[in-house]
Amino acid sequence: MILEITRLTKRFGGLVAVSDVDLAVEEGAIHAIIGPNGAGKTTFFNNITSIVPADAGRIVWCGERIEHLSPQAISAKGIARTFQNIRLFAYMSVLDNVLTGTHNLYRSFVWAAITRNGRYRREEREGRELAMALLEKVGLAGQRGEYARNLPYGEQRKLEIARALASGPRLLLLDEPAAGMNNAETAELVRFIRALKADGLTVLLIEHDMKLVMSLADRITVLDYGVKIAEGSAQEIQNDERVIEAYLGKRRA
Amino acid sequence: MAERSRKVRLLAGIVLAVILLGFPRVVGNEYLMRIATMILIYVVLASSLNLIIGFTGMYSLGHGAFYGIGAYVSAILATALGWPFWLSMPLAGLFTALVGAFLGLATLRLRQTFLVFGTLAFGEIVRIVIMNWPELTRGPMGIPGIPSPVLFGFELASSTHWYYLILGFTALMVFIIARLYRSRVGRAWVAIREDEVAAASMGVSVFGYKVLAFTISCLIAGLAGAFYAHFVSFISADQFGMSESFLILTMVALGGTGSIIGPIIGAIILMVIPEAFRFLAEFRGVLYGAILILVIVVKPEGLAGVKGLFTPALGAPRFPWLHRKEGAK
Repeated sequence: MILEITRLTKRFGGLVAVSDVDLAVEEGAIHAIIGPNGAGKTTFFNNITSIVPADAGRIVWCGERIEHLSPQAISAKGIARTFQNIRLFAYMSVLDNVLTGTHNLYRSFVWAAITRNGRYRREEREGRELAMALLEKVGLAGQRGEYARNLPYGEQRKLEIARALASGPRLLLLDEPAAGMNNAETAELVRFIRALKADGLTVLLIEHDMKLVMSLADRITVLDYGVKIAEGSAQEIQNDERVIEAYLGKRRA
Repeated sequence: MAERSRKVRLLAGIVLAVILLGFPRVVGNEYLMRIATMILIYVVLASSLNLIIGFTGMYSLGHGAFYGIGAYVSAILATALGWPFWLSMPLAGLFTALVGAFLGLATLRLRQTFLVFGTLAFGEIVRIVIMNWPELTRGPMGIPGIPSPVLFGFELASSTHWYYLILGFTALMVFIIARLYRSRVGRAWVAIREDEVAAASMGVSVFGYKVLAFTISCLIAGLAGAFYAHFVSFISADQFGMSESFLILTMVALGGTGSIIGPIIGAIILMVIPEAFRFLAEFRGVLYGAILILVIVVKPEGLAGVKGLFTPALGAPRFPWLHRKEGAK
């Protein structure tokens, strides 16, 4: 298991957003987290990436506990993410957004930046090649000079994924990547995520689009009111009584 | 785009260099030379404040104090200890950077609104300390007779010498700021300005880079202060008060935040206007205010800015610092 989470809990005042959740993500798998609105899915992501640290529980990444680390340290460990409410650097070019994603790969600092020494030029060239390759992959190479804010919604989602991938992660957390996408775009996204898996990346994703989840996920975890109510393959989840109940309400006796 | 814009920029650079270098030969007027030199000093001050405000998206209302610290340190070292300018000036910069780093470490975890008050209060503290420590600073009497620098046994005293010296200093500082801006460091700063949470998630050490921007900005302001002190040869605390901080801030806001050229334009305009509108006397303050309001209303990012102090984010409240930032760590 590349990521093992045990009894993770997060409270906001009296509300328990995430309650004693266990989760194990297998390396190279696509693992989906589903659940009704307000089930605590995004909070769970924020706990993993330490943007909103959990109150209790442990998060073990590649055999090492990371729940006490800062968001930037967690990024450096190889966990990258996108956000449900897109958080691009709006007044930055598309290319610079992705280049910022490479921040951890390089070490050029003040002196290197001022003198443009050999290391700076090499890192900058490498970073640009990597960023352009990623933009090529998500089909945004032509808009590299555009401000991120000027992209249409669907392309902003793609750019966010490219930016996350630029850090060279081993685990990618996608928070509702298909939100606001049309059918064609979603189909393209499915292909894209499959290709990432083929490249050996582990993906943990939150999604409401059940067609996407069922066709992609190797394993599905269902949260409801912060509690894990089911876990299994797509087949198992579709037939789980409690899942149906959570989504559709209790069946009349 | 690269080829053509590069040629255009090279040409513009050459024209600019010819104008700046030829200026003293054409003008030769003592008064205009001194104004040109002061404009250059303010170009440095506004550009350095832009590191904090325009690139990193923080607020500082204490920049005049850092300018003052640099001026006083160099002046005291030169007058009381007889140090040469070439030693006292860099030391003044380093000392100012150190003070800036400490202030940054203490205040940069504050929310924007509190950072504004923190830096404002710091500026006042510096002024009050200078006024009330006569053994070191001569208090309200100020420090007269600050010597001119000596280069290869030759005193740089004429206004032409000073113009060229400060022109070189200004060019170097703007060059350094521009290179930082277009690097991994600059991208980290802008990422913080745009979205701290996303920046942290990309591995940017938000607090560290904020302190870095603050420190470098203070270093440059301190150096500018040292040049100023030796240029005018007399300094006093009232030259570095709150109004000075606001003047520099207005230059950045007017010229444009987040670009290299913006603060330069702002500094030039706000230095030329008071000279051109001398007949307005004390009403010139009203003019500053009117200009600032006009900019906020008509062009919030400033004349040549990228994203201004007053630029609303997409769909975001117009004055975000009035609202709590969610989830920021």
